[in-house]
Formats: sequence, C-alpha cells, structure tokens
Amino acid sequence: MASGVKPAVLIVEDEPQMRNLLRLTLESNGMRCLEAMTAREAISKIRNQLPDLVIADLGLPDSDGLNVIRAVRANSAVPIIVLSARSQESDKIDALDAGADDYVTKPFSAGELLARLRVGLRHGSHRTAGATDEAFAVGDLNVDLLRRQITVRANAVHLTPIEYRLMVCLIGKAGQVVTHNELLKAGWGTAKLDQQHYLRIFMAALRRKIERDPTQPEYLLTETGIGYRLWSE
Amino acid sequence: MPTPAYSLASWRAYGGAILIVALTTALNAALSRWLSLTDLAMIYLLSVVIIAAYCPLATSGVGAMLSFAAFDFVFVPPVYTWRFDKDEHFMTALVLLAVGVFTSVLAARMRKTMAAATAAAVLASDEKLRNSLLASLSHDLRTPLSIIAGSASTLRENRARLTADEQDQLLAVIFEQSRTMSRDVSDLLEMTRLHAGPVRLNRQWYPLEELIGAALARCKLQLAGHRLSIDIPSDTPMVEVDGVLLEKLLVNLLENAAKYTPPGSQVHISVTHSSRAIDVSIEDDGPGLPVGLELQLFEKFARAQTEGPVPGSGLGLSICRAIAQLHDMTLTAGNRPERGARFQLSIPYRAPPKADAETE
Repeated sequence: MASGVKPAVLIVEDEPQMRNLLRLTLESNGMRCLEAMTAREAISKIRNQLPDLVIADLGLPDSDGLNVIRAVRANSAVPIIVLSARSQESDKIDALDAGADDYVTKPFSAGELLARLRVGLRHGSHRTAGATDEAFAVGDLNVDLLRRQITVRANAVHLTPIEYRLMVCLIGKAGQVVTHNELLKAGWGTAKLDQQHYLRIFMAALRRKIERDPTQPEYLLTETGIGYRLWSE
Repeated sequence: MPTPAYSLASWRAYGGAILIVALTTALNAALSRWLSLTDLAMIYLLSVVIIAAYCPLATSGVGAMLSFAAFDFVFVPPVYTWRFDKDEHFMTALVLLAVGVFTSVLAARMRKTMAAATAAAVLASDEKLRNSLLASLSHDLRTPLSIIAGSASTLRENRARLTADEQDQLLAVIFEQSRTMSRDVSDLLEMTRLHAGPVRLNRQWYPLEELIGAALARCKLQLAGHRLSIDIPSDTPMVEVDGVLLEKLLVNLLENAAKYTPPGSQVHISVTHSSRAIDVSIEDDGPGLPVGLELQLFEKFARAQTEGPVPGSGLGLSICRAIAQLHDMTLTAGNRPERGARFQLSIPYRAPPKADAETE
C-alpha cells in the first residue's frame, strides 16, 4: 500500500449490523471497505479485487470461515484477521493453523480491532512495526538482527541460541499471535512439538532477561492456550 | 430420581433372604425342644419382616414362601414331610405365609412412598435453584440491558440537548455495561459447559508465573485503581493444569478482589510451596467476607450482598470451585486476622518433567 492511498479491507460478515459497524469504524479510520456476505463471495472478491487485508467472521451461511481461509491461502498471502464470537481456544488455533494471521474475539473494542488491523496491514506490506531486516525496536527493547545483539533499557542482554531463535520468530510476527507450534518449530525444529513445557520454560527465561517484572510482562505477552504475542507499536 | 439399585443387587437380595431363612431354621431347630410350634412360626415371621424391610417385594415374598415351606417340612409333624397332621398346624403355617406376604407388600408400599417423598424434595430444591437462577439471570442481564437501551435512546432522541461531556458519559456507560453483560453471558456459558458433562482437561505443565501474569493482564483495567504486590519464589515448581481454566479461575478471584474492595486497596498475590502442595493466595485489605458465609460464597449465584450496587451474576466463584474440583485442587475462602479477605488455592504437588538445558 502506497502512502496516501487508502488501504482496502474486505469485511466478510453475514450479519448486516455488524458489517455496518465494522464499515463505520474502518472508514472513519482512513480505510476503504469491501464487503462480502458469503464464503463464495469472499473468495471471489479476494481473487478479483485484491484487498490489502481481510476481516473474516468464522460463521458464514454457506460454509465455515475456515474453508475461506484455506481457499485463500492456497494462492494469496493477504493478511487475514478472524473475527470470532467463539471463545474456545481450539477454534482460534484451527483458524491460525488454516492460515489466519490473528484473531479478535467478539465483542471487541474499536481500539483493539484497529490495533490488530494496523499490525496486519504493516505485515501485509512487509513493514513490521519497528522492524527492518536489520533491526527491531519497541519500547526500551532493541534488537540488532545483523549482529544478534539485544539491549533492553540500555543494558545488553545475552540470549542462548534457542532463546534467540524464539525471539526472532516473535519479531517476524511482531504484534501478532504466534502459536505454540510455530514457536516450538522455530526453537527446536520438529523434535519437541508435543512438549509445550519446553517452550514455557524458555519463555520464562526470556522474560526474566527482558521484562522489568516477569509476572507483568510488557513485551512477551501470553495468550493462554494459544501462544505468545510480542508487543509492537 | 434415585431408584435403589435393586436390579443390580437382586441376586444378593435373594441370597440374603435364603440365608436368613436357613439361619432361622437352624435357630428354630436348636430351640424347638423348648418352644411350641406357634412360637417357632413367630420367629419365622420375625425373619420375614426383616427380609421385607430390606429387600424388594418379590424377594420378601419368596422369603415368606420359603419360611412356610421350611416350617412345614422341618417342624410340623409328621416332620420331614410336606403333610400336616392337624388342621391347626396348617392354619399356623398359612397365617405365617399370609402375614409374611402382607408385611412384604406393606414394606414395599412404604418404600415407594418414601422414594416419592425424597424425589419430590429433590425436585423442589431443583425448582428452587432454577427459580433463583432465573431471578438472578433476569436481574443481572436486564439491569445492564435497560441501562444500555436507556442510554442509547437518550442519545438518539435528545442528542441536540446534551453537552458533549454528557454524550461521552452515556457512551461510556453503554460500553461499560455491555462489557459487564458480555462477561455474565460467558460466565453462564462456562458454568453450563463445566456442568454439562465430563470436561476434558487439557493438562500441560505451566510455570505459575506465566498463568498469574496472564490473569493479571486480563484484569488490568479492573485492578488499575488497586495497589498490587506479587510474591512468587523463583524455585516454585511447575504445575500440571488446564492453563485456560486455571487462568479463568485466577481472573475470577482477582476480579472479585477488585470488585469488592474500594479503590486504593491492596491486592497481594503470593505463592508458597511444600513437598505436598503449591498454594496460591490472593489477599486484600478490604472489608472482608461476611462471617459465616465463607462456604456459601462458592454456591451458584451466591453474593455477599444480594441486591447490592456491585454488578455481577455471582457465578464467578462457583466457576472457580468447579475448576478447582476438576483439578483435585482445594479452594478456600476466609478472612485475614488483620483485615480483608483471603482466597487460597492449593494445588497438589506433582513432580514436574525434566527439561534439560539447551541442547543444540
């Protein structure tokens, strides 16, 4: 998305009032809206109108939203944010595994939704918040990805190789949720996929090195039952 | 309705009846030298009454017949035959049979009446629970709903006459109340899910620090006006729990602490551990729990003040208890000797898995 051009967001939602609310929220925040009411319509609009981002409800009249995500992912990398009334963690993981980039649970606040959208749009344009290929910065945290140097509150932090790999994986999706499986793969390959406690122990160690107070983390946020999210913006 | 497990235990009932008749026969044989035939019949009768008291109708009927047969065969002259020498002996035996059967029928009927009474009592208490549920629900959902509807219609119809500040206030109220309502609805769904049937726990090993941290992050807004202190020793062992449910439990306890203590109150979270358990305490220096209500608090819809100014369905703590019970944890509530309430969750210690140092 070039600067000055309004990003186009496709709203996939069958409930008219919810669609209306989303359109109002998005348009008043400088975005252009496309709308789809069914899975079919969504897939065709994504192909033909090339939106910059998709907000998708999971419960659609003609098909499960998961099918939309899978169909789109077969040939498009457009960021997809799932809007779900379902609060069960397994539904969110299914959507993320199918290729969604993040989720917002209904009911949501406008602030929460817009923050996720901004992150999604930046990732879509390959401009991660505060990140280039060489460096990542948020708050008091600075990561030099070329020299593999990390400083927090102006102090150098030494990470083990696995800790560093986890950190890089989180930076790659800064602001978005990263599932346990993605992080386990990044840290250990496929060796420890069924051993989430390894990940938790390493995340706890990372927090002790980076956070001011590991019980009230600012940077490494927990999404219990799903994964972790690195604070951005 | 609890039907006694007769069908399962019926062979035992028959066995017991036969045994009692056999024992009675042996006893009577020992006593027959000193007692008259009528006396012996009375002793048989006693055993039939005993059988009738504890066994279903069919079994006690069989017991009465067996007693009749044993009495006739062993004791009525000519002994060891089925015949009767005298009509009065036949009458005695017949009365034994008749009284035995009659007693059995009476006992069965009495049991039925008692079962019906118990069932009625259970139904009544179900009904009471359902009524309190409905009353509580309609109050707890209607209140925010009417505030939302009222604020929205005021905004819609009188916008021109409201200052920007007043409009903001109404909007904030709509937002707040819809959040409250949303939480009540999810509490209700959670409770229904936890009670609907066997819950499959997704047990994983967690550092408590992470779960407490996640719970704190979710209560950030509610706790913003409170002073928070946290004490988790770094050697706290990991716990094997369903992380999502345990976080929910902690969130409910923290929200409760925030809700029932005035702003500026202290909320202290601490973890201690022994070789047997890991204890998580959430303490505050607020007004404390009403004395004598500490246990009742965990009941569905119980609230310290029933129609008080504090919103909420009162489901929170019963969800906590359900989650604790699923995990074999104990959750207790009480007052601190100084001041304020104290909730303690005791998690049984289990040896955590080894996680070796970094291997490349």
